[in-house]
Amino acid sequence: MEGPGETVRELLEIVFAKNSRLQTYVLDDQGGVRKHMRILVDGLAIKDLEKLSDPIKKDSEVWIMQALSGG
Amino acid sequence: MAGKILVSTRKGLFEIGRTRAGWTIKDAHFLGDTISLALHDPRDGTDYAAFHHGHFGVKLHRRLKGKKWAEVTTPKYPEKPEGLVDLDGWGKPVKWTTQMIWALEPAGPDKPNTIWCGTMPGGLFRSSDRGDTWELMESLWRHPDRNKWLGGGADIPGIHSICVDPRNSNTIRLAVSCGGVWVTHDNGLTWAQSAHGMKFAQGPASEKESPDGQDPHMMVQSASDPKKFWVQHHAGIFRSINNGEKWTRVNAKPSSFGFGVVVHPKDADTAWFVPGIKDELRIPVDGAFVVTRTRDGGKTFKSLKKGLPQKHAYDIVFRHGLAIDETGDCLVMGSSTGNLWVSENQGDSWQQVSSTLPQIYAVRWA
Repeated sequence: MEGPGETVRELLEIVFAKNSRLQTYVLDDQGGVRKHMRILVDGLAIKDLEKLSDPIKKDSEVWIMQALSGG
Repeated sequence: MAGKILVSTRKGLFEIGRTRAGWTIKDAHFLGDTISLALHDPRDGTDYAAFHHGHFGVKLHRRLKGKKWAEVTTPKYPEKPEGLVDLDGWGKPVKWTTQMIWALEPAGPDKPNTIWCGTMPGGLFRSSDRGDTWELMESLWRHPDRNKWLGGGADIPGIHSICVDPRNSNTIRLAVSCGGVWVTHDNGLTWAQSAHGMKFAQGPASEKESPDGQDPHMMVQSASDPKKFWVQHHAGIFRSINNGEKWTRVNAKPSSFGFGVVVHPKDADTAWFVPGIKDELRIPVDGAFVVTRTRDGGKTFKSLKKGLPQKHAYDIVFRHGLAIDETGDCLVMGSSTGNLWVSENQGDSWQQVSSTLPQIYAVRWA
């Protein structure tokens, strides 16, 4: 998905506006990143897992990944 | 006899039905996904399944009668006030996030479409539209004694038992691990502690008898004599014959340690338990798996073993892993090692339905 925004939070808000249920899969009740989810901006993991204030550039690539575990 | 059983497991939800040959697995849903609990609402035929995804968090799915499963809204905690110091009984910060759906119950015959939901970390929610929207019971969540609750078997406290009083559906009792028993008589507006008499075997006097720290593993209310309750507690079996106002210990052989309990729907003095050795050793006594049954209010117990493994059995039945149907004749039991049994004669003998299911968290007649 593509969208504008200057921070990860702003970008995700645009994405979630199109698919509100997606938000509950990526973020928890308080808006923080779920414990087994990772968000990477241009290949680097974001640092602010609660407010998602990490900046993004106009052509940044943002990945949302899940870390699977368990048997 | 109810014709169907919902079995919630670590790897999916299974539907069990009866054929001429006996009970068998008829259908499987959500294979690979962890289902912590399911509910069949007998008032309207709606089924609910609570997901416990490792990475996506808690989710709730609903199947209206005759329809397909569809995701509905998950109970959600409000925004935690900035700067609020909210610690549990261990002194650890409480995360205001739904971390497990641990109880689902219909609200009563006079409140159609309304269901109750107990969660970890200790919030009670109510939906009046079958899960489309949820309301947190703020009065309980913001009760100052909630900060005394603490994790027991799990890391954080949770509500696992919800008893809606058959005499008045505005009276609801909850059991909390670990936080005792809570009662409301005004449909959730105000709450009071109701675990007096429960106690741990060891610990400082101030702690072992404190109602707020008690660990009832499971609580059930008699349908035929609703002033009577049974609790399988961390430290043994407790019973109340006066609406939970006072609890007294009951001793069973071969052990009083366990998780689940059911009461006969027409006889408050008849109840079943599934014992393990003790807190520190959670396996059946001597590797022989039994169910215990009392018919006299806990004075005596009989061990029921016909059809159950008596050598090298290491099954534990979790708190929601034992259920009884509305006739009181049929019981179903699912274990930590994926064994599922049904009895049609009040536990006198058991039929093994499967020995290869995933770890079983909950069973429910439907």
